[in-house]
Amino acid sequence: MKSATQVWRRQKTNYQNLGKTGVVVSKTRIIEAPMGFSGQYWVVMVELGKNKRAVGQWASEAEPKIGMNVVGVLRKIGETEKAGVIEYGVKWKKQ
Amino acid sequence: MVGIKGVYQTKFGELWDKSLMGLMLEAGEGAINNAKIERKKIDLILVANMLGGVLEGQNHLGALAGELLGLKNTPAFRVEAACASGGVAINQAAMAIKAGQAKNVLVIGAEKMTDKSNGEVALALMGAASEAERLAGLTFVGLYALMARVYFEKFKANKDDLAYVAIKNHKHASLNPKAQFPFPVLLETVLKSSCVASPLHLFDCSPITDGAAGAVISGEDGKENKIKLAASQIATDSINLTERESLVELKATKIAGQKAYQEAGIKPEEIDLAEVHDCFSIAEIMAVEDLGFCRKGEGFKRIKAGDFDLGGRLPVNLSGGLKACGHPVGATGVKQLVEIVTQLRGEAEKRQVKNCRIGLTHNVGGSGATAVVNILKKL
Repeated sequence: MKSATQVWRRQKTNYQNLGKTGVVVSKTRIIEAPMGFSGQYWVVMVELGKNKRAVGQWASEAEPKIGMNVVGVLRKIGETEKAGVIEYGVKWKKQ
Repeated sequence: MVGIKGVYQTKFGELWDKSLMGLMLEAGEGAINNAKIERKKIDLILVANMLGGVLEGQNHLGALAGELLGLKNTPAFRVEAACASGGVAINQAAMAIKAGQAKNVLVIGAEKMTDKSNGEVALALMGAASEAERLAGLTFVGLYALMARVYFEKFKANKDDLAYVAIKNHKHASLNPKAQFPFPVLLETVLKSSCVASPLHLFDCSPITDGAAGAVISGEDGKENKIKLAASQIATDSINLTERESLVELKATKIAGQKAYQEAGIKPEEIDLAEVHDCFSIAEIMAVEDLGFCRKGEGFKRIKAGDFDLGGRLPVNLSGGLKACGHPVGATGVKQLVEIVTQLRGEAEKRQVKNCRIGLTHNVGGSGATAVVNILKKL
């Protein structure tokens, strides 16, 4: 379960791709979600530059496409869970 | 010389009447009995397991195995390297023998997974991935799906090409009474199965499984020690998939394979049969390429052509693989060894490869962060 201190500590890393731009190099639609997530959602792998990639959830309704130019945006990530901590991080959307 | 004296595998499947302890005991006793060795000669116990603490609330499995087997006071500990735990435990047994610290090592691989929900198991397995991948809501099938999509783009393959992995491995499992799914499947069934993480569908995925396997690895000569562990090599890569040089290969597999071939003094063409880590269909396709069984980008064509079927030029996953024999994660690497030893002894009955002398096991942890390649030779 997410603790407040864990989420607080992740501030240092959760937002590092905020506002960054890149290109979708792969994608998958997760149908069977792990605990802590619900519903179906797209996850994309984004090329941010030479030898630098990131993974994150897709922030739009429309399906992501390979080769699409994207930008990192601030969104709530995962379920709130029992501790009540709302965690924010970067998702990706079409630029 | 390091050899394999005894092997045993429990039935794999959804085993409601078997606990983790029961599985460990059956596999340990089975391997000792098969080795025809006095129990007191076991001087080290290694238990390969990934999820005992998370799913069963049971850690400290080395001492527990010693107690269960009447081997209290014997050095014993757990070996964990995600789904490669079993292969790594075999490697560690060989290292202990070569270092002169043990003569007869009992390796037990065991996992109890089916008491928990799919979501709980998926989350527990993601302990083998990175924090960034967990926060993205990825699962292991999702990580391999990301690789599959890149493979499709690069080599002009599609999701239907993956189906032949499941068809082959189910056909082999139909000849293995210890398999979780001992029945063949039709192409139509595979293609129509539900999507789990696009483009991978249910029949592209290994199942959640209970099971255990055991082996007695020995440095003693003798008539029971006719199967030599000719090579055992481990390589690692980044846990983060984003940090890999290539998304269409597992570099750890390539490195471990090349080092193992060198240690054994053989080439890939000399391998008679192999058990490779087909946690997902795309993983077997990349494995046969990365191990040098065919050229990069041709794995899916060669599988479809029957190269790796029983009766083909290099039978792969005669146990049914992870897909159809089952994947109790900590046990898998040991089960692969059991299958190869059974084949080299000529005891595999309906799925026996004729005149086989050299077999290979390939066990992967995570999305490719750990790879173990073991090569076995019949003396």
